[in-house]
Amino acid sequence: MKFTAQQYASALYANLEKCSAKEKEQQIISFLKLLKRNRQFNLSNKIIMEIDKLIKEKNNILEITAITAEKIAAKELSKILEKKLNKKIELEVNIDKEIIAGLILKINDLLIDGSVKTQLKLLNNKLSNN
Amino acid sequence: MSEVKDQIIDLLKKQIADFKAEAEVAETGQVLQIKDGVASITGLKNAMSQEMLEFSSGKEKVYGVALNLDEDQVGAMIMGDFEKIKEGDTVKRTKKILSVPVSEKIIGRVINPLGVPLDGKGEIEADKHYPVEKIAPGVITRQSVSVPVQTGIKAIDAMIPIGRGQRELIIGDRQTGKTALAIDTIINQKGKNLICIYVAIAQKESKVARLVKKLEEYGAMEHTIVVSASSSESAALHYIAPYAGCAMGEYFIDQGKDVLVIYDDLSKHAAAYRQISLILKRPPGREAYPGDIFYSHSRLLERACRLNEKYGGGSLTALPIIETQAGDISAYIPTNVISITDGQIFLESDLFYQGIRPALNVGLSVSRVGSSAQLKPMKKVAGKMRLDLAQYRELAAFAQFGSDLDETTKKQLERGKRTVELTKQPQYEPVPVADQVLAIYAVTNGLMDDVDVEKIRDFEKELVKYVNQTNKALLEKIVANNWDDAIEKGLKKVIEDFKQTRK
Repeated sequence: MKFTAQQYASALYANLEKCSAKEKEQQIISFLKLLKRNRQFNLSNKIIMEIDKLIKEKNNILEITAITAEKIAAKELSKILEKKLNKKIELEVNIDKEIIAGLILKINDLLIDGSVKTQLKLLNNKLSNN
Repeated sequence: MSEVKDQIIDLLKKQIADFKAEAEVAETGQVLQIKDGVASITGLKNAMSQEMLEFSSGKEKVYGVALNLDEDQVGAMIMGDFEKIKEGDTVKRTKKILSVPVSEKIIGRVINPLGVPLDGKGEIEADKHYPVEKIAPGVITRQSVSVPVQTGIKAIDAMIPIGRGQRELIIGDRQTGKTALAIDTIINQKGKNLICIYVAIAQKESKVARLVKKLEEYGAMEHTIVVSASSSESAALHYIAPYAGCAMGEYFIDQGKDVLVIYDDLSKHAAAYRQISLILKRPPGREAYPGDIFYSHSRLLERACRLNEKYGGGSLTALPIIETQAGDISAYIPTNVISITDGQIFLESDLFYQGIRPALNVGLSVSRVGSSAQLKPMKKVAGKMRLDLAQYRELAAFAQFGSDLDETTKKQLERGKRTVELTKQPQYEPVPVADQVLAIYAVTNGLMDDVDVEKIRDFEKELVKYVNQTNKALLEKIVANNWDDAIEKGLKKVIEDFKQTRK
């Protein structure tokens, strides 16, 4: 039977949590052997991503991408976010001049768009509709 | 002048001041895979079935519709140009069910299923948006058909009557005049308070252009909407076209109006849905159609209805068209749609080449509910016609053996020949119902027996002209749905008078 990357990841993660540091190596080797036997080695990248997600979830870490027009004080932003969301934040800041000003936050699948570019677009829609 | 200017500026100022800057919150996902107009998307955990999704790649926005909601991905068909979408593009939820813009102004226009004008006559301002998929009206809102749709085609109005709110299938091989029948019906609705919607599914652009030109020529575009998803559009547009046409019709029903929708044709719609389903990896069934192909047609045709007075009294008549292969009406899609509709008009290529046009097969064509909507005079007059034709066909097959025939049989054969001749009718020439009653009365009562078969059509033409000039009141009584002995006698007299003038 074929399993999905998510299923592999959660199984492996649950096993690793139980065992001691020594056994962990053995666990991973046997997991890789299982993958080989099931001919699903191509899933390894996806499984690593899924495990990463699980670890972050366990440690109450949230990955957030922020897009701004100018360089900002990333530390202060993450502090504010940490307070608001009550989670540890791993912040990645990208700079995109196109958005003019303001801030766009990407939290998993949620997109909070407070950029001036979008505001102008909304204003344009409103004015042309009336 | 400056005052007006000031006013405009004040208005603008106010609107800008009223505008509240709020951060836009959206749920997003990423395109995992895109192939042949269908995308797999990760994320979008809360996406609903049939929800519109916004693909923002580059500057143009493309919309898609969520169809498959799986555990960790969403399958969506893309409406429009899918070649611009790349793997990894962001997809936003719109939280709106797929809907089309509707307004009074779409009458007389040629549009695509999403309401975009195709006739170059400028933008259409939308009044409202109607959902493309909607549950059909329920039992308590309906009543049975009572008002006829006059197709203007003698054979159909006499023998296979259609009522407003009925679903009548037009079925036949290619090149048997299916579309011609539908177009004649549209042309005949001039001034009859029936809005016509012609939905062209995967038709050639040239065919649609020719058809629109013909409709304009006969002044029929004034009550007609043409919804076209041409062959070059994506399968997704072919798939939603009939639902979109129906949604536009529903806008007019809600105002208590009568609507006629022609789906030309549903075999191509089934093929488009099959394509989308197979790319979405839904399991194929018979003839590789997906399991819910029956439901996709039944839910569409169920939206045809005749609402009762309490619910506005509007109606939506559906004329779906199905193209058969080599006259095989027992294939999968034809049998499905035959079982859904309230009857079918079966056109045959053999009859077509014999010169019987419309090439109606009277034996296989039926209308299950239409007779209750037929005008009383027509019902009285045409009741005999079907019988005449049935007997004629039986005798004609028998008479081919060349044996000697007795007098009554000969007479029946002659009567049959004349009846068949009378059902012939050229394209774009619908006949008013009173004229139909007149001609059919003449032939079924033997008043045309002494006219040569070749001259039947001329005789009919002249008779109609004569009666319209000399005794219009009689025809008006027929249109007003009256029938008694006096009218019958009047008809007989008028026809005999006419015959006198010919001598």
